[in-house]
Amino acid sequence: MEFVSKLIDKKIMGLNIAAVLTIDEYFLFAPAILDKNTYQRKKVKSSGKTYDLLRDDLIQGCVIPPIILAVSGAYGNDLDNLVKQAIEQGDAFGRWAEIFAYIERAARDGELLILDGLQRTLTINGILNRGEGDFTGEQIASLRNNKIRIEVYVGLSKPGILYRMLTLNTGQTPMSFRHQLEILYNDYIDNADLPGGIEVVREVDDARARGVTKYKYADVIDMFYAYSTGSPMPYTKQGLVGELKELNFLENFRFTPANDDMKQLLIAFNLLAKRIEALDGDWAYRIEEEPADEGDETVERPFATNTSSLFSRAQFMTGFGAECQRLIEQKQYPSIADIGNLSNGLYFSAEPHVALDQLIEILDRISKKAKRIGDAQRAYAQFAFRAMLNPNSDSYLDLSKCWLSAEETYQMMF
Amino acid sequence: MLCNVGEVGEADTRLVVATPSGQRLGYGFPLAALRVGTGIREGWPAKFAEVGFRKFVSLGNINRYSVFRTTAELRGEEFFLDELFSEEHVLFVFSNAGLQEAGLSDERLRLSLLEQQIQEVESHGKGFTAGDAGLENKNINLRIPRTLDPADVTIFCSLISQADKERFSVGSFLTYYQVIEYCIDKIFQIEVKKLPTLELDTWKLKESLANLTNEVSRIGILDQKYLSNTVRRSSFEDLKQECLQLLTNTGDPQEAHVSWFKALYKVRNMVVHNQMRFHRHAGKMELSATNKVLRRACMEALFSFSPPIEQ
Repeated sequence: MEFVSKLIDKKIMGLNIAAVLTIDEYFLFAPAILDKNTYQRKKVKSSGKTYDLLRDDLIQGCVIPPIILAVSGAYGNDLDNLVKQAIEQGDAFGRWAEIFAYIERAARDGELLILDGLQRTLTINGILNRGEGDFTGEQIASLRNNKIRIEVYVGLSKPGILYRMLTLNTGQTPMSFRHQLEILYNDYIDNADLPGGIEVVREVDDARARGVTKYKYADVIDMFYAYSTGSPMPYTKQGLVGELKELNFLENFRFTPANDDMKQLLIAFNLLAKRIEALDGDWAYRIEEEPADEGDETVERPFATNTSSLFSRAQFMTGFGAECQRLIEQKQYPSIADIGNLSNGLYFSAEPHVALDQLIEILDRISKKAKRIGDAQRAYAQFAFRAMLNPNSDSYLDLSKCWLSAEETYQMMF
Repeated sequence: MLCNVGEVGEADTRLVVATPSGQRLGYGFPLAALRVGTGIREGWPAKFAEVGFRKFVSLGNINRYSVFRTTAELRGEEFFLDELFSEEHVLFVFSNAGLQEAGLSDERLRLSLLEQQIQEVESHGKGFTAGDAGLENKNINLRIPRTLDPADVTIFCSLISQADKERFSVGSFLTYYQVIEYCIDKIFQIEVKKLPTLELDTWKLKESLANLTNEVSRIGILDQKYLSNTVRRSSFEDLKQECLQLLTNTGDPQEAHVSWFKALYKVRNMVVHNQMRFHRHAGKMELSATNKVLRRACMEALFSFSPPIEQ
């Protein structure tokens, strides 16, 4: 690998290092990148006339555009500090060799992400390792000796990587915003080092995350997506409006040296959820066969039966994410961490059992009328967090009043 | 069968039964319900849902009903049913045995659904007619048009659908009114055959014939003798009130005790002969509101039409 150029990206506060290497060298570490992330492997196909053409062109020795990679966050503060110095010192920085060494190390360790060029990588992989295109041994050997360029981003925060992925992919056949989130935050899974004792589990490992501190990976992604777009709706629902909100995320993106927003969101949500559980007086929803009084509702299939399962549901996570975006945008709070700190002020102004039973009944009423129940519950959850966390709300921090207040808002809107 | 029923929620799966027998016919599944099975109980409902889903999802139906009009948008993606097709739709799945036992051919079924304001979807974007089934009841209860000839059933399906789609309220009115015309024509054919058997003098015969040829009088005979005793008369009372209001608004007020059919006939005459009156009182009357109650009353007449049994 020959490092040929180094640039500073001041938008996302990272370094861009260009290198030239043979395809054979690239494929010493590329398979590890492909294997590491199941989402990439599952989603992408490479068949059809376009890819036949690309394979033929590669065999003939065409020059492909640079493949864009990024070093993951695996090397912690050591690499971050180097990058900071490089950015600060610019041309005066004299330790580029150390940064190049980190890139080579990341290649060996499989700690590189593909930001742009996944299709090209898969196409080449298809020729070299899967017999696609039916080329001769000579042709394949010749392909291995051809050179390509790569550009490696170093020192990016996760949102920075996401930003770069989105801008690089705009206009091409993209991975969706959501898909890129999944790739980016894949290292959260099974990571026991998340603060607050939080665990993120894959869906397949645990059909339903139990306990307040366990969250399903897909739901965590959903929550961050809701925060990024300001809407609690699932990304498939958003359509054109979603695309505009994603562009808005790009437009407003600013690098901050603090920890990434996804982690902050998870910590803040967990603080609120744990606090509510601590105050709930061991509440559990009991399914009554017959209503106690005439006119009372019976909930045959409650949304949840305890606080733990209530706040491990995607509807509440995405409602929270979306409302955080709104609260910060309206300058009610400077950061997600400030919202999380409100957890200490939460209280029940009346009997917790009554309030939480009411919440279950509200969710049941919504589900009986909603065109799409999941979407309606997400919208309601956002209103609930608004009533709970907006300082101008009459039910600010009051866990006895915020649920009914949110229902009134929901009825007005839907 | 893909249909519009109006406002429908994910949890609004309904059992469809024939009334008054209670014969189970099938289920109506909002497409959103087929995401995770909300509101679909285990057992027969789930079985019907699965069969319906599997039969419904085909390239032909995607071409016909999907909100996506190019395959480029579909390629490589995964969809729930209510994303591929409109979330407004309801998938009806019927049991052949149930329909047969209830005496419901395909056309009778369509008419029964129309009677409940359930509109079959022709294809995406084509002649969309909103349904208005009002799913407050636990079940969807379908009445059976037993006394109608099969050929007439097909015609009525076409007429009612046409009137429902009609953009101009005058056109809808006249088309719905064909139900009344049909009934009173049948009455004429039956009653006129009886005349020779009656012992009537010249003047009585002349009077009887005059009554038979008089349309208002025949609608009166429909009201008094040709509707089954299970007819819901409230629909005619609603029609009367709407007609009286319309006539008042167009400068032709009537006595409150006038019969529904006289009030209807007055409006009918205005539509046929004197539309100038509408335009002179533009903004004061709403024929489309009258059409809603007229439709209900006409369907009531059609489904309750029951010639008296000869002694």
